[in-house]
Amino acid sequence: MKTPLTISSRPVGPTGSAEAVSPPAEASPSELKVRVRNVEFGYQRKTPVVKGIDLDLHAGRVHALLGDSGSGKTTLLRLIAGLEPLNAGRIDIGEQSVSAQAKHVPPEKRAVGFVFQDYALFPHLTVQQNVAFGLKHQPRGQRRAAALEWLERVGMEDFARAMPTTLSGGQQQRVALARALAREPQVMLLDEPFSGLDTTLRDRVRETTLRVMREAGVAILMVTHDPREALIVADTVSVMRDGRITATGRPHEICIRRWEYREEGGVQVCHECVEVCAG
Amino acid sequence: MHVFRLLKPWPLLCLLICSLVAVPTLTVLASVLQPFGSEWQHLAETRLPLYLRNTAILAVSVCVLAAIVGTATAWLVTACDFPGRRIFHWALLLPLAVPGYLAAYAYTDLLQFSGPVQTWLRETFGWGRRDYWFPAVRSLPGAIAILTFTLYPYVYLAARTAFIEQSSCVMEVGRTLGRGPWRGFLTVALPLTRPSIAAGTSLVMMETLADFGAVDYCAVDTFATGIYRTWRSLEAPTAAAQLAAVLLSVVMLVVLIEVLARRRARFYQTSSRGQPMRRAKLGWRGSLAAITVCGLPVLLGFIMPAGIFVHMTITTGDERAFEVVTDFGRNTLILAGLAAALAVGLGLLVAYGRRLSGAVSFAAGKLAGLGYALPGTVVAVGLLAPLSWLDHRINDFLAAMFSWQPGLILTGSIVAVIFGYQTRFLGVALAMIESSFDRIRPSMDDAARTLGTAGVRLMLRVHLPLLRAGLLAALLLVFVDVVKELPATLMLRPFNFDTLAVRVYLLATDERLEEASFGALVIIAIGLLPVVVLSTLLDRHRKNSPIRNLDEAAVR
Amino acid sequence: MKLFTLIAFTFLLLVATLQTPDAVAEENVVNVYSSRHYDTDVVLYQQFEAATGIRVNVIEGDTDALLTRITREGDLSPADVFIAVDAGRLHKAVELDVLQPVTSDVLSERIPEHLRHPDGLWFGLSQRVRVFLLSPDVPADFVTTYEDLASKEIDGGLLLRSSSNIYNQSMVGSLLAYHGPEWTEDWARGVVDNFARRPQGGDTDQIRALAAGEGEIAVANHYYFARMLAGDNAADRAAASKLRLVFPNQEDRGAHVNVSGAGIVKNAPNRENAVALLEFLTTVEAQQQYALANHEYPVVEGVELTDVLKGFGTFKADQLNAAELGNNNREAVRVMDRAGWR
Repeated sequence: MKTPLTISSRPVGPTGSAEAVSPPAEASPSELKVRVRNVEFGYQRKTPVVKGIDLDLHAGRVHALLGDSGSGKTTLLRLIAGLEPLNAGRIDIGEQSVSAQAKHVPPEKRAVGFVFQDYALFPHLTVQQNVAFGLKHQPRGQRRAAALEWLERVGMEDFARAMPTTLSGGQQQRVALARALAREPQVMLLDEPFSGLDTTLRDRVRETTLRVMREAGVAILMVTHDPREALIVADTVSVMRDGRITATGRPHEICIRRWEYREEGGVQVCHECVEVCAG
Repeated sequence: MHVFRLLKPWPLLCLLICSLVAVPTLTVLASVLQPFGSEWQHLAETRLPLYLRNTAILAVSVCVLAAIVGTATAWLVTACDFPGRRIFHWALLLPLAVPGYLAAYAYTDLLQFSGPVQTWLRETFGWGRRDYWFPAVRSLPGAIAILTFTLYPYVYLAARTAFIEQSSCVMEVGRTLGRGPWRGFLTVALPLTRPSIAAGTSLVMMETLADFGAVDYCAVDTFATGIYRTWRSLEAPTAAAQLAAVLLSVVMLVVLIEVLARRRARFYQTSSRGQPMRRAKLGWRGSLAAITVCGLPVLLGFIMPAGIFVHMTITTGDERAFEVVTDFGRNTLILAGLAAALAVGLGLLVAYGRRLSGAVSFAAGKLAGLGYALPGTVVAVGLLAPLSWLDHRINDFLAAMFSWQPGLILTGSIVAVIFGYQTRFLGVALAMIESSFDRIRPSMDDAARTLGTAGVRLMLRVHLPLLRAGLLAALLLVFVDVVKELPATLMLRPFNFDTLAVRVYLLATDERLEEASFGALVIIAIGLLPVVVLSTLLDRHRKNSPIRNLDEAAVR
Repeated sequence: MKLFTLIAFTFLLLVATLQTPDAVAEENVVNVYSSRHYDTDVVLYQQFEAATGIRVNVIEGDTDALLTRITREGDLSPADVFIAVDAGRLHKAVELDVLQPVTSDVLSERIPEHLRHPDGLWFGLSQRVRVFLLSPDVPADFVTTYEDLASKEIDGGLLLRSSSNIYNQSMVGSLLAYHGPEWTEDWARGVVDNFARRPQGGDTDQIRALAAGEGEIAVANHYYFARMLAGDNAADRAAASKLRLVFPNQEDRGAHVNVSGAGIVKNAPNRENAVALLEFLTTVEAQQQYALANHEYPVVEGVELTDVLKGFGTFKADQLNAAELGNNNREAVRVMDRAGWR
């Protein structure tokens, strides 16, 4: 067992104002599920999208990745999932090394669950078939039962036979979650999973989601550009900027310096959200 | 890394398939490397200006008119409600079943000087030859009209799909801004669907440029007829190939423009999650106008030509009618079925390669698609040389190894003609499949992979079901195209293997059109089936179509 | 793995298609590449099959396409017999060296010398005459020679098809042989000035247009006219019966005659069968069907003509060597191009 606190590329200031954040459950030593070391990646080699990334994810813990759009959050998620190959560094999931210099375990062979920003439900399959999709090594009856069980956990059992396109955003989100969890992954990767939901719905769905995942005992890495969200739900927060992690710490250790909204094309964009408290 | 990516099996396979299919195209393009002979001077002094002028006028006019007709009718049936709308919804596709050359046969027969209409006019009014003016069918405007009304369904098909997908948003704008359907159409729907209309129109352009039968019958000299004449009458095959290369380079330019336009179009993709369309109900005046606008293309593109052939069949008949159905019909079905299945298979492979590996496969696919603009004769000539060469090598090899000469395995069988169809029509299949693939968000693949599914299973369980509509559309379009195809079939088919189109053509060249009418009807009938299936399918398809959202499209 | 499945499937598909060409594999066959497209020919092939047990396989197509195909196929070509509807194309086949000489007493006895190749590379099977048809509004001696087609008298009354057509090319080729290129080009310009309309349609179209009054004179192969006269279409019969047929140049060299003929392909795998087919096609009975069913003039003596052809009367035929037409073909096209003959 390692220390619960993550190692960051820069030392983190000891304390910061926690504001109105409800502190998460007291951190306790738990199993290390994912270890990311010095990871570098770029679509074109010359301009890396992420570089020098170190990250540890623990079972039952929520790790939030906070940053502007284009800061490399989603890319990092995709690297851990194996959807992109590394240029340098290494990634271990559980005991297994999945990404390294000359090694690439494809995503289908990794124990990861991924909830996409648009949920990516298969439109041609029913909700139940969607959830059962990943359970290919079990007999059919068992798969159905398992799918239904997961749907129950997210409160979607009544929609088992519905087509995904008929569901609302929140419902789709929960189905996507059940689908990813059904494979019993070591780590859940969530790409702005709540951004498509309206505010009232968001809190409820978020609570359910995180509860279910915590119960399942998986490590959780969640990408968000909303600092409030990160502060509310995360056990640990990492701030990303320009492809680097600039700070990692407990939510109350990260203080919000500038919180600036700008109008961009009629849409409110959180432009630059978080900075590390200098001291 | 990039070189390594090139060596992966998929792009390599793509490249292989595409370059094989594009062999005739490449042969044509390579002809510009040969010296330009004295024929060019002769051509430039005599007919070349005419070819250029006619081809330009024909292509531009047909494209513009087909775009207008296709878009207007598509908008009417998606955004407006009027009596007969449901019928026009599918009936507007019917002209797809009528090959241009058959429409030309029919209209010429009806409207020429010695035809029934003009004869009746002269007899009724006692006019002589120089007493009245009557539009000539066998003229450039005649050819433009005929091609417009047989080809507009390509635009209609594309525009209708696009309108249906965007209709809700358009109507919302219409409602919130207090705009009627017409203003909404001009300000929102049209700009949004422009890429789809452009894609449909580019198919029309390629068909127009490749058309030989209709323009030849209409006595219009275009590049297609010019290539043929240069090859055949001037006995200058190199100059003919060079003419074809000139034609191809224009097509390449247009394709390039379309590719660029489509790249921008990615941002145009909007969600199709909206409410089903609420159509504007038209008053009786509007209804009448709508019925006229939708009815005219169906009447001119389908009912009239089919009716003329029905009449001819009833009055003249075909001695070999039974044989027409059993033999020629069967051959047509075999060729069309095999060619369509193969084109869809190859198209799927290439489209897959493009999804996995981008640029190389994309360019290869575009190259393979160029064949659609090549006249069938050019394809056939370009194919005979390499295939015969291969036949000889196979025979040499087998003779040396087993002292056995199987003869012409490729050019002596339907392999050659099926190959030719791939060159001609793979582009159509590819376009359908690719647009279908584009609708599947990349996150679908990613989701499936993180759920432990890749390779064949990914293809079978995710892609194929989602592509079903696109694949079927590709299958049917190639099928119809092969049923209609003439010049390549004529030149590449094996012994005793006449198709309906060949039968009709041979009778028509022997100037026995009446006897050909039954065969023509069967061609139209075979073409009808896929058209109707296609139509119902496209309506159903929408319900399952995956959503693509704006942010994600922009990020990628 | 999916890759292999698909490749295997494609391959199987291709192999399956190989089953179709039964023509090559069979023993007792004769393979015909023909540019004649007449249903009556098919009947005749069936009779040949019944009489000899030799199966006839046919590819019909455009002459040039067939020639291209034979050349490309080379020594593997299954083609035994090549049939063309025009002497010029037969000559081209000779030039391309795709035919082989045949010595058959039967053939040389039956077919007159000027209707076959001196070395037996090809044999004429039927004759077609390029004739004038006159409207009833003009006198019988309105135009009597090909040369006169350029005369000012016709002025906008001439109905003639496109210069892409091989019959016109051969006709102009014969004028080139007699008058040389410069004269012919002038002549072609005169012809173009006389056109009643832009050249369009086939020979039958010219005759119909003439009958409908769109011009005063039409040039067509005689059998199109005969076919209209003898056909089922009452309107065509009525239209054609008004017109007068004129054999041109009867006072001098004779009417331009073209032959439809056949040669044996160089690498013919079934040479004997091919010769048998040619001999069969030149029997009086076969000629009756082969030539007369389409109202063409037979090449064999002693074949009774159809009533329509009898009605046309006898005529003097131009005996110009077919090789000459073939040699002049390209120049003929260029001349017509320069004159603006569509």
